[in-house]
Amino acid sequence: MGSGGSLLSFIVRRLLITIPLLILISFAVYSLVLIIPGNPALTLAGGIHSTPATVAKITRQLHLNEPYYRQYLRWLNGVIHGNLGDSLFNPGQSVASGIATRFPVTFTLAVGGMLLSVLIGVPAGIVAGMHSGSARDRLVTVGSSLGVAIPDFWLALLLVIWFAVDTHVLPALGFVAWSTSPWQWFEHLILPWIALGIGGSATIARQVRGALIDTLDQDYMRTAVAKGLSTRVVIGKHALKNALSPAVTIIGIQFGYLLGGTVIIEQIFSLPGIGQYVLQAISEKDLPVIQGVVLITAIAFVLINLIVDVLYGYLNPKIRLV
Amino acid sequence: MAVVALGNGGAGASPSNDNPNGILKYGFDINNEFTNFDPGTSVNDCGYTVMSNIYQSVTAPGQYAISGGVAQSWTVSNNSSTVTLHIRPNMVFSNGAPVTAADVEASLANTEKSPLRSSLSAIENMNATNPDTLVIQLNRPTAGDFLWAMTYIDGMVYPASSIANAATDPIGAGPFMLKSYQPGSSIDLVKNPKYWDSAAYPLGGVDFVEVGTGPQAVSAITSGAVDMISLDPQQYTEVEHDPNIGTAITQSYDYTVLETRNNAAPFNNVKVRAALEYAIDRAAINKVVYAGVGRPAYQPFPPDSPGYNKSVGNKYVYEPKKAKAMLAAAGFTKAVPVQLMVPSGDTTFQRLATIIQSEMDASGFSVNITLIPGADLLEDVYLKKEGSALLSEDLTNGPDISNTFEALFEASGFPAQYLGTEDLAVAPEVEAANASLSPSLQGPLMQKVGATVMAQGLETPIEFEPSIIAYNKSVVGGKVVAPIGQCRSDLAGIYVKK
Repeated sequence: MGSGGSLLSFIVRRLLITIPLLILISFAVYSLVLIIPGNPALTLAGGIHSTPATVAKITRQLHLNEPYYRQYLRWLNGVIHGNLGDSLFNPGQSVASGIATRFPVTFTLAVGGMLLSVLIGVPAGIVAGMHSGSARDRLVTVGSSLGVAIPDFWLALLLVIWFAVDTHVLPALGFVAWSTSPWQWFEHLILPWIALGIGGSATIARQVRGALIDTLDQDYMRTAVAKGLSTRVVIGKHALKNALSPAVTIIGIQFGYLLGGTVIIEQIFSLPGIGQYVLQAISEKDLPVIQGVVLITAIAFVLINLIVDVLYGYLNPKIRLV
Repeated sequence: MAVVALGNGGAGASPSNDNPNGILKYGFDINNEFTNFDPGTSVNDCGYTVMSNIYQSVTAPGQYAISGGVAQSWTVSNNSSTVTLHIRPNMVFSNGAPVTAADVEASLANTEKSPLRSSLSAIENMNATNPDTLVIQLNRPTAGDFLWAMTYIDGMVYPASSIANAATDPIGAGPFMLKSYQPGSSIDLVKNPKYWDSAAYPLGGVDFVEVGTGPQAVSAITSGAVDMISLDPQQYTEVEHDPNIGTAITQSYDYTVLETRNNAAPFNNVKVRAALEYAIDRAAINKVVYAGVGRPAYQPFPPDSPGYNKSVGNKYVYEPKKAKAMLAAAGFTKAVPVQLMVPSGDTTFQRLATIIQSEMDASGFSVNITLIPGADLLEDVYLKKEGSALLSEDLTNGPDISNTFEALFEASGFPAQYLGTEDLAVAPEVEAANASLSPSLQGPLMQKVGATVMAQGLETPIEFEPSIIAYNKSVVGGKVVAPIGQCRSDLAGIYVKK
């Protein structure tokens, strides 16, 4: 079997592993009902205006009086059929539609932030790694240390003050759909992308730098240089392929984290993404929404990990044998 | 029989720099304070900020009196148990359909399904005797309380035919209509040309833009992202000297309060509660926490309220030595332990709690603060009885000055039951005050209640909260008014400059 075949079987093996993983995740996600304190029926019944009869009625309506396993199976059955349930506090609005409305915002935010991280982090890491010990290396090292140390929310607030409040160059907050105005869409996302991307780029730069220095120190790299290969071929074809493997993992993990909802950044820039949605749901104990978002986020993480594994397998065929 | 005939006056001629198509950008925390447009299923009272611009309620709120809304006038009879509404002539919904008594009846019946709209449980039956008249029979003599509730979400009127889609496609008889809604992001309204008092609203529309509370609110108004926004006192200090930003402040009857667990130690001892009234430095709190724009609450009603008791006056100033002596006289030789529950996520409350802690500690108490998420309050504080005191708010919001005491002191009230604040001496006065909104009836009754509340320490009022609106001077014209109470927007008379 050729390398393409073994890659395929590697993908199939990884996909099969995800099935029990997803079942486990679904069970853990539903168990949030048991972990999270509070009684949504009491809140829905009018809080301090509630009566025991109303609370009991709403408890029955929500099936909260049923055994835990039955509630789980009912929910799982819905999930399998694509029904994540309805928001408790927004009657008539399905969780699926709530996520579908907000996911594009978070996805756009995550992709933009990640792209910026990669576009800054990878070249910076390569330059620093290729010129280890030089002024350029020190510049990247200091810059990336700062980038890692600065919290994204603090950077976000500074950006708002500089570019929105003081100079009025960019909007302070809000989201405009691409379909409404592509330019305004871009304008409203620049600051959030920068706030999210700087920290990620610093991490990636440090990772790429370290991996590249290690790789360049390998015997096969010295052989390649001794054979008279150009620097471009040595770095581009031989060194980077190995040096980027750990960076791919970092990128994957960061992207998964961003897809889960960048709560604080969404809050600061008033972006209607998944983070805002789940934050509101947590404060209200809107369990179907919390469960839906956590489940979708977990699935996204699993899929991203799968993609990372496949990329890893492509970059390093030895991994496919594991 | 009491007869009332009131109505909002129309605005004068439009100013020369009014842009009739101007859209006001209004900052509002849509994500956390808005559920949907259906008064029957909306579970967030702050949705009133938006919904009140789409729906006309039966009556209209004011600080000292209510006025006509869908009901141009009303009569109260049968010992305050019957309310007869007279529908405003020629009033139409935004879709052109006439507003009838049957619509009001259908609206109230639909909204009554919401457990949050407890005022509507007072309805025994309704009878639309003709298209312009609705007779509402109440099951208790609380017409005043009912008419006040009619200014709110409880009294919003919509066509019977629109109920099924009211959550997403609202039709009302208010000054604006829904243009578009992006959940968690924006709610765009346009002028309702069929509004009965259209001249009072010179705006072409209003876009409610998602802005969270806190520092974002200041960024939003100073950067020009929004034209108008409601601010907390902490944020007020950041804009008060900004030459481009105007502010409007209205004093309200709402107040922050320490609710004590009166059926458990240490606050089941009336002497301990009485000492607590002297353990809070309300004047200092006003300066530090409320930027000096609030008012110390030395009793449950401020001086401009009919419920203000002159003999109580400012008697309960901060006297830590006196409080200590009172506790010693009550038999407490060591500091009295208090577990103070404070809603988390509210910076005003958290700052307030820290100051109260130090003041109470200096007065013979030993306060331990526990932060608790808002969603856990009901379960943990009320049902599981955690904590001995709760930092909270009493929201009166207007002329129904006895409104907030129903739940606190009447036996049927939820806090009364779980905090043990039911008071047999006070409850009858509160019940009697619900019959009418007349200051001559409610005033003396509430003066009496206020004196009892302070003498027995039934609760510890702290600060009357200011309502603050900030606006961009170069964009917003007209007289900006900060509406009393929370979660309200008053856009009458406001216009966007050319």
